[in-house]
Amino acid sequence: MSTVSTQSPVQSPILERIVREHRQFLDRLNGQQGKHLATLRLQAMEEFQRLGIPTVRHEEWKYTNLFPLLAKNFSLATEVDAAQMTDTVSAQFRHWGEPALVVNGMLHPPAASVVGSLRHALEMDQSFLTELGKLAPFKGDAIIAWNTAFLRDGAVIRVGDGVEYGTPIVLVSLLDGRDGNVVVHERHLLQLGRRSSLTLVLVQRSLGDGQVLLEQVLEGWVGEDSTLRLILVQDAPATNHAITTHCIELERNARLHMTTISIGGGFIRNMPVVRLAGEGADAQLYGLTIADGTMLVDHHTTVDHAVPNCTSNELYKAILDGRSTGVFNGKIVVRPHAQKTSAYQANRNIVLSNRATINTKPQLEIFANDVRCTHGCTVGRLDREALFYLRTRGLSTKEAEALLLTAFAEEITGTVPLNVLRTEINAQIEHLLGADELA
Amino acid sequence: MIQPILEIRNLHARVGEREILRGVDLTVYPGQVHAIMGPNGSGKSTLAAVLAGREDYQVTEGEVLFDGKNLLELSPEDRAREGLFLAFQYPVEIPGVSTATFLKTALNELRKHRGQSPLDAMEFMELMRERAALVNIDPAFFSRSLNEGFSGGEKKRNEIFQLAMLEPRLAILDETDSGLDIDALRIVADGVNALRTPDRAFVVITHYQRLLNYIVPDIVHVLYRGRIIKSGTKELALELEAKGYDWIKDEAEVEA
Repeated sequence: MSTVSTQSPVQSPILERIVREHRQFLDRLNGQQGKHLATLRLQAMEEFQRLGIPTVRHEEWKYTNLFPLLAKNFSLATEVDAAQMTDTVSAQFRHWGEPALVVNGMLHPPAASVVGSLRHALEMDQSFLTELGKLAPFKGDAIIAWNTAFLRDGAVIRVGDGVEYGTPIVLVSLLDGRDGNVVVHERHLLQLGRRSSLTLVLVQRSLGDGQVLLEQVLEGWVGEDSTLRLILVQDAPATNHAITTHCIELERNARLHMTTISIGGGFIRNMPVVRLAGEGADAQLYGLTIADGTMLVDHHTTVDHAVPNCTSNELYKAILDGRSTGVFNGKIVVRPHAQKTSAYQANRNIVLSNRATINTKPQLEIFANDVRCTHGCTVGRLDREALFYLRTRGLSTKEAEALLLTAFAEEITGTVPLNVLRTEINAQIEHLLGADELA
Repeated sequence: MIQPILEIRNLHARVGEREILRGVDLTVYPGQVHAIMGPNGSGKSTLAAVLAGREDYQVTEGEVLFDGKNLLELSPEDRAREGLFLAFQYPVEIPGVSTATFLKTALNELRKHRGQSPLDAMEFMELMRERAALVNIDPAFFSRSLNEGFSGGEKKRNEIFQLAMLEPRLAILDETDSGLDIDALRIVADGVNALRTPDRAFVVITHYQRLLNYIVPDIVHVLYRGRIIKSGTKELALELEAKGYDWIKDEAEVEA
């Protein structure tokens, strides 16, 4: 019997490069940020090397090949002097809420805010390290291991008990691609106390013409009776790539309302992992993909019902044109004691081109017996009857398509809980779909 | 001399291998209401679909002139822009597209074609309110998704409302009476009657005579096996109602 190597010869140069960069990264840090963190990074790197970069032979990555992306030879982004640009970049997002800028992975905390930097938090209190990795353990997960190995900074957002934080926080990831292709690792922590609420917007921008890859991990706790509204806006140019892991745990009666809008970028892989850990918790996940060209968007969701009486609902939609690829992998776990669980999942896709691909896979792991769990998926073209009906009223095929596609997309954008942001996203979508030229 | 709005000459159409229309002749003048009756499967809805430009049907013979233009060469949207309107037997539900958005797009498209400037939001709302009243449509419907979750009667009223908004030269009503109770039927018919003008024509396709008590036709045709086998005044409809279609089928068989 032959042994299968976890490390294919193809990936070796990429892995070697990452290992080399890790060594240089540790050298540059030169023991800063303490011993415990240094140990954590080394352990994570060991695990990353043990696991290797996931290939398409890996069940969780069978539809999404990382290698063409990583072949772009990203180098680890270095710290840049961001003092002058913070104001101008922040200004672009001020009408959405309170911007906090993360430049090449380093947080520039806004004044008087609930947002602090992870590196400061770690400097103040090494015991803070014990929080890291609780929701996003690196054991067995190559991406989280990669993130942890290069862990340096990110945002720490803490909202105390009883605080309804009214202004949305806009976390802007700014990646500097002016001197070539770079990868940026970000690690964020989010803690909502009891009876509190927060709206958090995550958005990515880049500088220059280089290819940029954002590898982002967020760990978020939502306390009893609290609400987290999370909006992921992925609308950057095709030079922007993203691999996101957002691990959220919901306590008793806590709510998560998450909308992911993926309408721009090159390679996008989103991995929300939601754990319903207290009875009465509720998670609503919405996603929209609009892809053209060679764009790839992979929504890889995990909803884990760990206790009884929780509800979850997922609706992901995609419009695929050109040679684009869409992936939806929706995993729902219902643990043995999680009776009276309600879990819904739907994935709706419109494929406009013969060369576009959609892969959709529900993955239900149900170990309790008193459970309501449904899933459904559709893949199709635009409804011919609807198109004909609209044309008999004088709309051209193009206009009728634009109207139908916009309506299809707006079911998701309608879940964005911020009016100004929703309006902007809708305008972008109407432009993408040609609906802005409608009479 | 008054030109006909619609002239159908020896129209043959098929879907796949099956010939459904087998030589239809029909001439409609401005101001007229024509009723087309016939048993199920005689080709009534096919005629409507072919006139509206549904691509599932293949015209194999004959011609159709619409205001003197070759209708069959036009796309469905160009037919609409030239002033043809089909009220669907089964109006399509369109989730997420509000009646208002849809009608504004459609109306401004037609206005552009006619060389008119688009209506602004105020003018458009005003027109919607005025025309909605014709068929008893609550303005709350304007923001609802087109036909989605509408009852059968609401869908049919919505078709006539669209007709009122788009002001076509020729309106084809395909079994607009099907599934309507008597009150809804009256509302729909009143709406249509209010829209009768000297330069607009209607072709009313129906299985039952009942509708024709309210929308009184100038001429009644019987379509059977893809051909118009008999034409007459509104009394013909009453006769069909009383005697059924069998006698007319027999007559047709004898002639054939």
